[in-house]
Amino acid sequence: MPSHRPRATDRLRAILRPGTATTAAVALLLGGIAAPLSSAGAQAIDHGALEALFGEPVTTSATGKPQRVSEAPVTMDIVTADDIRRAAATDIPGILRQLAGIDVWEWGRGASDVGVRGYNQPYSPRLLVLINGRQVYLDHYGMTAWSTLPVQLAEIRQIEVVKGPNTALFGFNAVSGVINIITFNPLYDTVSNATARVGTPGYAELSAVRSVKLGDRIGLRLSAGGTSADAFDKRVRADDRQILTKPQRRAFNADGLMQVNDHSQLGVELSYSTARQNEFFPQWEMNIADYRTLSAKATYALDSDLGQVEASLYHNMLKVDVDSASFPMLNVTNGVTVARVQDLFKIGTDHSVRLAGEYRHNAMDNVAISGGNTSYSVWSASGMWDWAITDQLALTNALRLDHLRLDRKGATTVYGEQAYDRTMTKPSFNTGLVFKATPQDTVRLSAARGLQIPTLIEYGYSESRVVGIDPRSGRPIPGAFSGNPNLKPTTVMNYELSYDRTLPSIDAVGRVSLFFQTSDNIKALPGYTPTRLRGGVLPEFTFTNVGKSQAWGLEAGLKGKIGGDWRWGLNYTFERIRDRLTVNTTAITNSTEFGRETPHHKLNASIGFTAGDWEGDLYARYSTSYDMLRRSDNARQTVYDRVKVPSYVTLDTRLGYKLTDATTVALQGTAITQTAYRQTSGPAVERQVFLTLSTRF
Amino acid sequence: MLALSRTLVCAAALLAIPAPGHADVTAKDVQVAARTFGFLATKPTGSLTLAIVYAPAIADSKAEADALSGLLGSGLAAGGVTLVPSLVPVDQLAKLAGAGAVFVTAGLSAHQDAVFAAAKAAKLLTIATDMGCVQSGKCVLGVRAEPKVQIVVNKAAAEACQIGFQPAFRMMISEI
Repeated sequence: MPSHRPRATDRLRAILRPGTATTAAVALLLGGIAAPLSSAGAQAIDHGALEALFGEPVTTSATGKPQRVSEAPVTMDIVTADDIRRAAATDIPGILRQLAGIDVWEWGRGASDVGVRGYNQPYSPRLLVLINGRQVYLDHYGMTAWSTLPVQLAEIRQIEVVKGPNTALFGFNAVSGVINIITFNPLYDTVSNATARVGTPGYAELSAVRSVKLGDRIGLRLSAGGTSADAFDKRVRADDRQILTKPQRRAFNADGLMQVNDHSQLGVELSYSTARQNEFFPQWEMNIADYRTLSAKATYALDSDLGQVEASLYHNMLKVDVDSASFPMLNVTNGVTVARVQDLFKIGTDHSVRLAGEYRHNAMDNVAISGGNTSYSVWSASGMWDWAITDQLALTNALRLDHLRLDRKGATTVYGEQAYDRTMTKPSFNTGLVFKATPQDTVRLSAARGLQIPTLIEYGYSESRVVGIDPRSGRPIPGAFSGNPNLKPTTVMNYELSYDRTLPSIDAVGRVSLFFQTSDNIKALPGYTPTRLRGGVLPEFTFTNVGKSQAWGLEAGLKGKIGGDWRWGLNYTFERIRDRLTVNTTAITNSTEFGRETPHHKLNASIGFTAGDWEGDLYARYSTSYDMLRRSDNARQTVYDRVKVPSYVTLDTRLGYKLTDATTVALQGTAITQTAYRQTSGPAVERQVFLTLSTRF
Repeated sequence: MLALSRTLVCAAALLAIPAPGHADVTAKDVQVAARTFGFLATKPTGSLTLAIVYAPAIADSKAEADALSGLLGSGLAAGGVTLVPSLVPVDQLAKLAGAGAVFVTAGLSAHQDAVFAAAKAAKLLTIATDMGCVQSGKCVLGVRAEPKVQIVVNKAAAEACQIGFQPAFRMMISEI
């Protein structure tokens, strides 16, 4: 059924309709009153002040201690607030696409999967995504629904992208990389922004961000926003067209920080978001997903004689209803509670140490046969030691031990309830050597072991369904689709050598990184070849470990300025993946083949200028071809097609004009040279044009 | 592991670039120095007198004092403070009274003991672009902005002057 496309202005009116939550929140923000904040002692990292001091972004995502990005012992990129403002894309995955080593698959408007260094897949579960250190990936499947993130682009100070495993700092899921979104600090930073955006197809957005200071010891940052759009509907299969939905999102966030006294701070953060979108199941099938997330977080930071002590406690709630032809109306309710305490201190002049303990409880109501829940608790202990051996040489080691206890109550899987009474204890580590050969040259050598724990769906999914018709009797054959408590975590080892070079003669910075990565015990979904036959007759399909994979690649990039007005960037990624999966030995398979789904070559280029009140940027991207699966059921059986994604070149652009010191109007376009192009085995990604009005208030 | 560490240390030493002994303060150095005040354990705000200690008879010292005084002008605001210069000849250290911090110009190695003693008595932060002063423990804070921001704190000197820095700042600089 073709979707009706109302005009963008109608969309905007719909978002602004009196009585809606978005309208109320935006009105609240617009009515806020700012007061000056005098200086106070500090515990939280003041990113802005440290960046101004050192002339480069500062991060804690590499080791847990504050570091200049150029001195971090891992390969990482920082997307700054200026980069975000100048981007042609209007969402975070679109902005990340310009980085080396990043794959973004946009299944539908607002629904993207992001992979770091290959291994991208529907519901990409190898990536850890955080906002100010709080996990915002969804723990039932370790996935990230980017449209649910309760953050507006205007409140982001920087997006930190760590490539490679960092489980020793962040825990499970940080195996292909970590994306930590850092917002402006409510106590240190003043931010106010209102943005209205209309565009194609049928796109409308309204958002507002406002920081408010209450005296000189309390700061609040409030944000709210909503978007609405039409679905991509070009090159859509007939069966997918039946379930196309109009994507939309709403998000609200409140972040408060109080200076309790000169040595301690108390922080509270609340967020709520909803999102509706078409996305792709890991079974390579389009669905409609309705998300609702809620989170509450409290932090307490103290400068003491024992070091910088920080304690945090947060709870994330998720409700998602997913509907597709093969999996009608799956309802997932998931709650995760994380309590963490860490102490960061310095011994003498050369040694920094971080000690941390963490408790995590993750529970999901049983799916798809309801009743009871599947849960696990994890106790973790971790430590980091950073040794400044000389002014030029530093060695960082981090080690973490996770002890997991699995549990299941209520509706059973094919393994029975007792099989879930099990524990596992797993180590992970990061080690990195940074050698600053000269002020212009830095060499990094690192190794890391990361763990991707099975998700609650992989442990506890349970469903009975007819899997075929007995040709002799004509009777239906009952089968079971089941989670597997015996799944092993996927273990990722990463070895890396990188070299950074500043080139003052052309005002540029360059980096080359070489990496080799192995993944053992890769997990896979139930296929339609039974994992086992109960009693030699009844087919059972379970999540299983399906072998191993190896990847190696190279990333090279340069970015710089020409005079004060021009900026440019260029990066290239090469990657090869060799899968050794045990499930792909027959012609019939539904398992991901990472090697075929990862483009071998990617190239990004950008150029931009600032001239008076004008600001223009052009972004180009080239990718070689790859292919991916596509579920295609027919009346008799499930079939997986391979869909080729041809090589492509896309051009994105933004042209901004400053109407006043506070107000900017911008014209943005993505894929401007083509009506649509194929990026996935789902609907084609369409050209989008946006008109944006943004103002400080 | 120990052998590897030793090898790496030796390699680092071979490739090390010596710290400059002579220093010409630049506008960027002054910006970096001013911003470090925001990371003191007791953070000053508002107007802060920076006593520029110099020897009129030493050309390098006089030149740097004049350059710094010129850069600060009637007051330079950065990092939450406004630095106001006050030229103090090295033989008139009593004039340090009332200052908020001390800048030790280049070429004063013969006078650094006296300057540090005076600053220590007044619990004043001593700053230099000459890293030699910091390495010898006669200055608390050394700053250089080019080619890359370099901040060095002499921990013993800081403790002697009862100067403390915020923990996050300490994690990101070189301490000796």
